[in-house]
Amino acid sequence: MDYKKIPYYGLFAALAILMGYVEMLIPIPVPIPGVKLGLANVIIIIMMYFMDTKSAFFVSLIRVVLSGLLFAGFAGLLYSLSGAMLSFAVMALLKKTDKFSIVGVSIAGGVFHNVGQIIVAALAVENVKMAYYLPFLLVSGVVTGMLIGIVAKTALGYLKR
Amino acid sequence: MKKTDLLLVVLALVAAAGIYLFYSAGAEKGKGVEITVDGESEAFLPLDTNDSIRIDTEDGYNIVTVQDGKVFVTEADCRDQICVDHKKVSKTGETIVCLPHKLVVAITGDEPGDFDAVVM
Repeated sequence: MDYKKIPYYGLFAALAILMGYVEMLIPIPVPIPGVKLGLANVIIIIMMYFMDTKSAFFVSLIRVVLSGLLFAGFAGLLYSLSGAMLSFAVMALLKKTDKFSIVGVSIAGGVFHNVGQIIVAALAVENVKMAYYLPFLLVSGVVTGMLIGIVAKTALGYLKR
Repeated sequence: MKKTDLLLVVLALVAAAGIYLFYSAGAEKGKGVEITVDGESEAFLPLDTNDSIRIDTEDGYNIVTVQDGKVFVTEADCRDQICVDHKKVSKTGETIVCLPHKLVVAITGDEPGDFDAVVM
């Protein structure tokens, strides 16, 4: 392990948790379970490109567990964990192919975050009827993913200078 | 944005439209509403009678109301209140979900009694 990275882990994890908290303060006028901005993903994507995929993975894991326990409780933790891990896996995969821009990676992340959450939600309520929400969540994943990707791209421009 | 990014967007939107059409194509005016908690059927109300029912779950309560053939959640003590803000539902396949209480309100085309016709 590169010890120079440790301060970055702490800094980025703290930022990601903070983003998650800020997000809770912003009301979203869509009464569909699972629709979120995904502000924390800004930090995860920045880390993916600024450092490396492995570091971003650890920070994502730490963020989900900590903010889950702090703000959401155990059930909420399971939803966000499944969403975050699925979305991270897809983002890492797309980034590796090198065929997508940072915005594309972010869009895929947003979409699969929602897909992951709905799978766990359907398992939790033991009802496949949850799939009814899938179209709305796919569209919202595209929109939020795009916004998040643009924010991350802009921030990275400043970071690299 | 690269071309592949756009492809991704188009794919996601097409999938969304496809699933939406699949649901709305088979949708007709529902006959009843089935309320399940944690996968277990709790109650079944016909849509043609105005009625209200309080469902107590392990995690809290929800009050589901049928009015003029439409179903909505009037009250709940869950933390996100998404089910209360949800639009009224009346067509088959439409659902209202209260995730914190694992409660699902689903419109069906079935009459009360033929529960085995519910396709899971």
